[in-house]
Parts: sequence; structure tokens; C-alpha cells
Amino acid sequence: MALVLADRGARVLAVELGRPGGLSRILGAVPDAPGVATPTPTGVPLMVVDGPAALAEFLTGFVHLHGLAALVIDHPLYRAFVGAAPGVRELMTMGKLVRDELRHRKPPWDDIVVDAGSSGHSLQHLRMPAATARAFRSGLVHREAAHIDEVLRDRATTAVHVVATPEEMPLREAASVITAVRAMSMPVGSLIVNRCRPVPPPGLPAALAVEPEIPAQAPVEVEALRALFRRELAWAERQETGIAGLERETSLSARRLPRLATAAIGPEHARTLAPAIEELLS
Amino acid sequence: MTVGDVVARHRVVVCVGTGGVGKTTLAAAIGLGAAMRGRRVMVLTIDPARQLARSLGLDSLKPGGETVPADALAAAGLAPSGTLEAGMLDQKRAWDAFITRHASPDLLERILANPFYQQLSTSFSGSTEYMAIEELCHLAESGHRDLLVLDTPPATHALDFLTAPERIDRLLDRDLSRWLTRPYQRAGRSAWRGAGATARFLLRRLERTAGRGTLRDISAFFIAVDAFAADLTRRTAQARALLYGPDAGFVLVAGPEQLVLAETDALAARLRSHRARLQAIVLNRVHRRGALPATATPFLTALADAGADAEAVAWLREVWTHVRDRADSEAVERDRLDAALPGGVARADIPESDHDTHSLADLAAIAADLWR
Repeated sequence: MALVLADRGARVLAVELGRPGGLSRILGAVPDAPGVATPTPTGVPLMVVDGPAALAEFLTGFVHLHGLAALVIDHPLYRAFVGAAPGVRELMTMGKLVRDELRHRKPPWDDIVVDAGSSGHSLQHLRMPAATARAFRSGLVHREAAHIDEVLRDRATTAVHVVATPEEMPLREAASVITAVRAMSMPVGSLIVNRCRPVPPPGLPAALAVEPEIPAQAPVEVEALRALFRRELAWAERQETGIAGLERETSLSARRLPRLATAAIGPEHARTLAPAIEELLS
Repeated sequence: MTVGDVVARHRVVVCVGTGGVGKTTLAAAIGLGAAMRGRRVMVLTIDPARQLARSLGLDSLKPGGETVPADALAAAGLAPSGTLEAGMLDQKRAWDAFITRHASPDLLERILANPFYQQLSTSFSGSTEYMAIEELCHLAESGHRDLLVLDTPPATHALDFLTAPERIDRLLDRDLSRWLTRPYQRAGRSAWRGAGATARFLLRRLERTAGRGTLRDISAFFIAVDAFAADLTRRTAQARALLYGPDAGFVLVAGPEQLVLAETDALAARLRSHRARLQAIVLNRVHRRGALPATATPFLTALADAGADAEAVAWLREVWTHVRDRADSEAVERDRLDAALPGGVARADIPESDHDTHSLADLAAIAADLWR
């Protein structure tokens, strides 16, 4: 998505949460430090946003600890608190994105694409600002958390794209994630089903029932191929049933991305998805 | 050595891996496989995605755990000589049970009513990992099961779980809790008045940042918890001994894709740095060329010549090319993994299934691969 948006001429920042992982590998660069937009060979800058580093920035820039910031940040008690206090990392991560990258006076980016991780923890990232605003009833933390939550719920700014694979459990999980995102009054963007088999044409079962003479192939091989194709057809049919069910349940139209025929992944492989992403963004 | 051998040697099996690789299914299959061999098993998930019930073919899980019914097992053609229970960590319930177990009755009431505690126990991410540690110790102590299988959240958060005992220790550190509580006790307040200008400056900033009311709540919470801090510290020591001792084995679950395997490498390195005992690596949803022929061209050509629908033949050709290329590409990645595998680590491949895995019979088939 980031590559396609950049190809369209947008100033795009790709963001990975926590530590360098899949996105860093696909874009071909590992940032030296968290919180810094790093150029990648693809032309899309990448930033890794890490909670403790974002908190340190917050203390320096917003709490106005001035010369004492380094003293506080290096103190063992501070480190113990940051390491142990629940929710701090998630809140600061979202805060860094909203405060520095999105609501900057002169926003440096047209689009920020965040790889938010697995569903359970993505939801925790999205929930933390509201939870913090409730827990901290006044003060700067309350105001910051409430502001982040407001930005996340703003349809003009944010879209939560939900990505699933076309098997029963991931599709069901996608439905519950969409329910949860809607319950937080956050805008659901696209429902994307990745690694889809091609839609089976109606004539497929009849084609598989044809039993021609095949002198050039051993019967055992023919049987192995028939078994493979029957299995693939069954998967494709279940995929169609599952996606239709998810669309009904969520009232969203699923956008499909094809499966890649390689176990390797790099920018060139990600770019093969570009036509489907173009369609999704149009 | 098989993954089954690894399971047989341990009281705690921790399944870790990156997102979407099928950890929950593997954890459920390990539990079922061990129950089939006579062990009393509890599979516990701390993954907020909560897929365990679906994997076991149950509608839902009760927070305290639920026994997989004998008739469901029998319907799947299974007659385990042991027992299988599955549980899901309910954050709020676990926090309340934890406080109830450790606090005196007067403290209990104060803590449960504390606004900071109410948010911590319901909404704060990260606090689940703390409770998982408590639950793990509680289950291990109860003596009702002889194997606990833990399904952890994806990669980074799995490590949050592993480091939870030491982080709890740091949070309960006397210096830290005193620092957090002192300004809001009457005596402490006057002590702060006598403190240096730097300390007073920091306190004012802290109040402006967090809000005085919240700091008072946090302070009250820490004062209450301080009364049983020694119990908690003992608990985290038990958890550490259990997780990193000889009774626990870590099973890394991965997929055969380059990206997943690269993240798996990084995860294995981090497990080693935490001295977690990596005992097995399982690759899930593996595509193999196996019995497939080298070519499908004669078959597809014959179908087309016999008048089969052209669109259908094109679909079959596309599928064939995908399956062949995918299997070849995965083989390269698997060979790379096996070449770098440390000695003494069991390996298993679970082939991609013909259908979605969500029944006990499916899990039994996976377990058979793990014990093979």
C-alpha cells in the first residue's frame, strides 16, 4: 500500500511498531534508531516507532523537563517504570504518530501507512488512548490521550484496514475485529482478504469430471493431479463461502489480493500486488 | 527426537511464534496429543485473539478453563487415557482473583474500589502478561494437571510474557514504589517539602503531567499492594524458576515463508538471550511436491482436447503453477532453516491441510505428525 501510494506521487511514511520486522525486510532497510524516518531503496521512508523512545521524546518535548530530561530518562527508577507500567508503550507509540507525524504544523507526509501487527494487539494499541484518558482524569497525559483517541476516531484522518487470509478462523477473527473497531467508533477502511485463490469458474467441476485418455502421463500421476485439483477446488469454494459470509456479517465488500507463488518476499514481490492495491485504493 | 518426546519430558510447554502461523492450533494439538498419552493437560491461551475454543471445536471457553467433553472426543473417534482442559486468560477475572488471593480483607476492598486498579485490570495492555504469570504458577501449584501448554501472543508480545516476572519485580521495587507513593502520604508530603529543588521541580512536573487525582489513586494502589509485595516477589521467583527451569520447554511455531523464518530466527535468538530452553521448531502449513508429478502439461492438454471448459483448464493451469513454484520455493527456505538448526532441537513439518483445522479429529491428525 505504501509503495503504491508513493508511486502515485504522495509523500508516504511506512511505520512498523515495536522493533524492525517484516516491513523493514520488505522495504530493504533497518532504521538505526527508533522514531527516525529512514530512507529505503524503494523510495518509501520507514520509521520504527518504539514506546520507550517515544516516551523519552514526550518527556523532553512536552513535559518540559529541559536539562533534567536526560537525568530522568537515565535513572533506574524511570527505566523500571517504563518497562513495567502497563500500556505506556502502546500509548506513547500512538502519541508519537499522532503528535509528531500527523498533526505537525507542517505535516511532512500525505499518508502514513502503519503495519499494526496481529489483531489482538492492534486492538490494544487502538484502545489504550481512551483507556488512559479514563484512568488519568486530568493533566497533560489526559489531554494527550484524549487527543490521540479523537484523531483515531476522526474519519477524515484515520482508516483501520482489516486484513485476513481466506480461511475460516482468520475470517471470523476479522469479523470480530471489525465489530471491536466499530464499537470504539473508529473508522473501518477496507476489508482486505490476502492470499486468495482465483475464483473457480462455474465449469470447473464438469472439467474435472472429464476422463480423457492420457497416454503421455502415468495413471498414478494423473490421479495425484486430480486429487490436488479437487483439493484446490474445495479450498476455493470454502474461500468463496467464507468471504461471502464475512461480507454479509460486516456489510463490507471484501477486496481480494492474490496469493504469491513464492516463499521469498521483497519489494519486487510486494509490487506484484500493486494492481490489486490500486483497485483497492481507487 | 520428536516434538512428542519434547512434550513428554516437560511439565510446561510454551508455544511461541510470529503472528498468523497457527500457534493456537499447534498448542491445542500438543495438548490433545499429550492427553491421548495419559497426561492431565491444561491448554491456556493468553493470546487476546482467543482462537483456542474454535481450535478445540468448542463454542467458547470459560475463563477458569473447560474440560473438552468425553462425548466430543468420542465423536471424533478419540479415547484419551488422560484429560484435556482449555482455558483463556480473562484479564479482569485474573486480576481480581490475584488480589483476592494475596490481599487481606480490608485491603481487598480498597484495591478493588481504586479507580487506577479498575483501569489497570480491565483496559491496560501489558497487564495481561502479568496475570498470565500468576495463573501459570497457580495452575502449576494446584497439582490437578501434569502438563500446561501455553499459547502466547505473537512474537514481541510473547517476550513481554517471558520478561513479565522481572518487570513485576522492578515495579515492586521498594525504591520505585516509595517514589510513587511518598508524595501522597501525609508524612511523605512534608518530607518532599524538605527535599531539594530538583525533586520538587520533578514532582510539580509529574503532577502537571499525570494529574493530581490520578497520582493519588496510583499512590493508594501502591500503598495497598506494598503490604503483600513480599508475597508477590516470591511469586515471580517461582514463575522464573518454572519458565526457565528444566520443567519448561519452548516450541517455536513458524511458517515456511522467508519473511516468517527471518522473524523466527530473530525470535529464537531473543529466546536464547533470555535463557529460555528452545526445544523444538514446528513449521506449519508446509507445501511439499511429495507425490506430485514433474509436469501437469499432458493432463491439462488432454482435458482441453477432450473439450473441457477453457476457463476451467486455465484455472487448473494457474493453480498447478502456483503449487509447484510455491513448494519449490518453500523447500529452499526449509533447507536453509535445517542447515542452521542447533543440535538437540526437534523439528516437525505439518503439511497444509485439505481443509480448515477446527475439529478434534484435525487436531489429532496434527498431533500424530508431532509424535511421528
